[in-house]
Amino acid sequence: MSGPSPARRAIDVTGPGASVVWLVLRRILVAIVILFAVLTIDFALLELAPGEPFAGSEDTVEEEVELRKLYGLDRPATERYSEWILGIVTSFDLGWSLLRHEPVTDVLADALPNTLLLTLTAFVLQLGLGVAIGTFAALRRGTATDGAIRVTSLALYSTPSFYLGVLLLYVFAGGGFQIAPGGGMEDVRRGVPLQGMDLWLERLRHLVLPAITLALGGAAAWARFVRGEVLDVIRQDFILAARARGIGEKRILIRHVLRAAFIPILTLLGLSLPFLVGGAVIVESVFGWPGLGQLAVRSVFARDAALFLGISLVLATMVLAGNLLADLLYLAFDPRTRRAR
Amino acid sequence: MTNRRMDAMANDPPLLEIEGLTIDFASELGQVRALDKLDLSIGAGEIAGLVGESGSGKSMTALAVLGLVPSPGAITAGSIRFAGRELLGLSEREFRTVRGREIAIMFQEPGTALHPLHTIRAQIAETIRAHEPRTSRREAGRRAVELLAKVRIDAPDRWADRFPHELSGGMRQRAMLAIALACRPRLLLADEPTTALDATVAGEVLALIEELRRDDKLAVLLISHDLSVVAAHADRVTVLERGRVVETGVTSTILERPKEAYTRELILARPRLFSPPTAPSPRVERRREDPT
Amino acid sequence: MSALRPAPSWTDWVPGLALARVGRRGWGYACLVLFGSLVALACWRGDRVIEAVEAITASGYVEGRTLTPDAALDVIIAALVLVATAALSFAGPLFASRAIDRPAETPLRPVSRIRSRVLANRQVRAGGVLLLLLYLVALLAPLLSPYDPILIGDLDTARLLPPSFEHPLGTDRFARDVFSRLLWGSRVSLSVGLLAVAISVTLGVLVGAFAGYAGGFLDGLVMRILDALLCFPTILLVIACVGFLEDRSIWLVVTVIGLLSWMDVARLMRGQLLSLVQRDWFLAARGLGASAPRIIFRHLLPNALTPILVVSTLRVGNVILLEASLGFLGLGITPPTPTWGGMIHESRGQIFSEWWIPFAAGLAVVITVTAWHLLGDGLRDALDPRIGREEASPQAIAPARRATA
Repeated sequence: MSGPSPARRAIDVTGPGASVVWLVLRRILVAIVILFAVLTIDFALLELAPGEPFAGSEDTVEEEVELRKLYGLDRPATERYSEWILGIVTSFDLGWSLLRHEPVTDVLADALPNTLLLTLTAFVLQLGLGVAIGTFAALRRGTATDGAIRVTSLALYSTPSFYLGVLLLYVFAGGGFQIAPGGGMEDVRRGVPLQGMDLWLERLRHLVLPAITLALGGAAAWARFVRGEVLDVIRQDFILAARARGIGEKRILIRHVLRAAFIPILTLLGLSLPFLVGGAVIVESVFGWPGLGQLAVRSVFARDAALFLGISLVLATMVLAGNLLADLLYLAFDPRTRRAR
Repeated sequence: MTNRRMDAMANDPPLLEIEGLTIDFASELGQVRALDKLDLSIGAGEIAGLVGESGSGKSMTALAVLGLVPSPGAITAGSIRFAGRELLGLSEREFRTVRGREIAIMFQEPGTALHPLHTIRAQIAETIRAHEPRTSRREAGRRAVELLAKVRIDAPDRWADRFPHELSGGMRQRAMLAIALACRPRLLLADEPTTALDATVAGEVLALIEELRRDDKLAVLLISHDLSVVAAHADRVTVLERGRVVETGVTSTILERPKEAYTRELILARPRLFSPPTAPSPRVERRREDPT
Repeated sequence: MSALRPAPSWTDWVPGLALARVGRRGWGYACLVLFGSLVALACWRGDRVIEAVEAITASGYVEGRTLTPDAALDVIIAALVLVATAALSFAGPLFASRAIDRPAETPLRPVSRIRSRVLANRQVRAGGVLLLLLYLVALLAPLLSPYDPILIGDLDTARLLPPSFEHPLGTDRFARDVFSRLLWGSRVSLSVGLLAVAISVTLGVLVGAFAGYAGGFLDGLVMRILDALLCFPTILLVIACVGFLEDRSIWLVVTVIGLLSWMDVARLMRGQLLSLVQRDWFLAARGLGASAPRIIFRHLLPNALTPILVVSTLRVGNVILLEASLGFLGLGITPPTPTWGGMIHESRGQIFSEWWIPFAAGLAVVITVTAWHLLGDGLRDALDPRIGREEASPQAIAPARRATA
């Protein structure tokens, strides 16, 4: 096989007759099964863990029992499970949130856009930065710049995101410069809610620090990976052949080197999503960003199992959707997967 | 383009003149001499053969002509003149006008020398548009198909939009030849063009090269470790052993009356169908007396 | 290294100087410093060791005793570690210098070649030394820490003190010495890292080997489960398991993390197995009559283990980050056990005033994880067959300039 070979899990192309649509459908089917399994596992985990909701929240034990009966928490696990699953399947009803006293779906609908905003922004940032810096370092392999980049990315990669967030908070929002707001998504001191453009600007101001925090760790990881892949590609014969045809360096870099390195990047894309989402959980907690991650942590403290399960479902769906997209892109971009000789 | 060719033919000076080319590599064991004072010349419409075992410096010669000697190697002496113009010392930019346009190279492994993610048409068209920037994409694509037809690929418009991994070895080699010919170069460096191919296909590719020499007065540097390939097609042969020129001359002369023992070995190394080697292998005796 | 070396002399008996004599001056002096510090530590803390021994051996209530049997045991173990390390730093250079004195006679076997390449890698050395130091500090924490990390101090006078000579990093909200807590916190992080990865790697290798060997439906089933678990951020899974509990012991956290991060290793192991099984030599061995399990154990596993080793080393770093993140969220090991993440969680309110507490704790995490990543990177570079990567000629990157004669 010519060129760098991606190490990835197999996409089963079922032969020359497979069409893309069928493939997508199969993947979606598999994704649904996986989600189902995820939910079951999650539910089982929560059931097995000791710890009662409302424990110690009311004055008497009887009141606690009453509350539990009210929320239907005294019924056996299997009953609750089947009811819950049925609810999801038939009407997307995810139950009732104890923390917020409203349907879980409503809570999620509020928080999901915020998490999406943060995650997508960080994703674009970290991929862009990572690819640019990784390529830059690869082209200057052996120089001091390369060494500095490698050291910095190693240090960043080894930094917990919450530490990075706290540091950035301290420097930019508190002790040092006071450039960025200290947290949350909007300035709560403002009396009148903002509209339109002002609202978006305000959001952006608050988005900067969390997005950078979330992105930096991933950017370091991508930079390390991309550097290696670019170095691999550059050694290949077809790059020498392209030079021998008199093609300019810039074109070679973009259309030959990066194009070939794009494939292994795609394979890693799907695998990086869980880390991105996991990082969002932490970063949202650091900055008080009102998204699903922060909600997940708070639901744990409140023993709100229904909400936690709902969040898990949504986050898992996000990761699966991202994986599906990455797989499709891979199929689209690597001609070697399409037609078998 | 045609004027230049006519001039070259009229005056008949050699198209490529290599004199005293020396290439050294810096390695942990010190300086290694990959090529030692090579002299070589090729005229328009001539096929010159460069023969030797692997590691003898043959490929390095081709890369040196194009200014692509990989570091830690460097050309430490000699001169390479193409159509009277000294190539050593040219800047990168000037070299880029020569590479692919005046001098083109065919690599040994077409599987790895073609970009796996670009179609054949795209790779040919890219070369054309790199040197003739005002060519439209459509025009370049059309010429790509013409070139594929020229190298005897059937149904070229179908194959043009395929990817390298969809082609057989022989077709890939032809595609590489097509890419090399895209801008009508005057000199073709064929680095082991047949090594990766089976005999029949190899023969076809070589026949193609012969045609080009005949019709377009293409000068060819035919590099191979296979003496039979060189013997059948080259006008003159240079034999390399570990970077040094062992023998050089007209092919028929060398084959009949090899002056050097090494050349004799190479000749004897060709598999014969009927007659066994007439003389005992000189290799054993030579090793005993030659300590280097 | 071929210069004449001075002959062995009495200086060899000074710890470390033996190495200096044969040319490894850096290592030699480092050993000397290490030995010296250990001796100093022993002198400084000798009384505590004696206390601990008394606490263990005495029975019944003793007036004024401050050490519980558990704590005393910790101190004694630390003392043993100190003695062992001191002995090593004394004897090690001696033996090493003797080995270097004798020239290498036998040609290097492939294993030795690999080992020397690994040891020569700068990242491996840097990371390895750093890790040894960190683990040494963790093991000696009972002796090194000036105060008890858990005991709540005088809440009236000693809360949130700034750094001073008595308290190098000040005190926290509960008047506990931050520096001691930092030292003891290293024990948590370092052991969680190693143990959790040990569990997950063992599990992953077993599952992966099983899946790869079984093939067919079982293989597919395992892979589907794997995919299901993998699309979940690990931190969420761990939170799901431990977050709802009241009492989170270190063993619980270790086990949970270990049981939830085997997926990567399993996939890797399976991939290795599958690719190796398709190789020609495997088929040849089968053809010669060797039974499959025998081949797997004697030939496959050693080959497959190298990338797994690299991945495991890098994973330890990630696990430490995970545990610290858990602690930061307040869902880690229950207080008052000091953990680095937990320390940052507790001091969140004081970040703008007593910033050195979270700063130091986070820095400790960064240093530890960096050490593990350095080691992992170095191992990967040294063991990876794609050695050409780091030796890719700059020409490949940009055409070489010509050297004129």
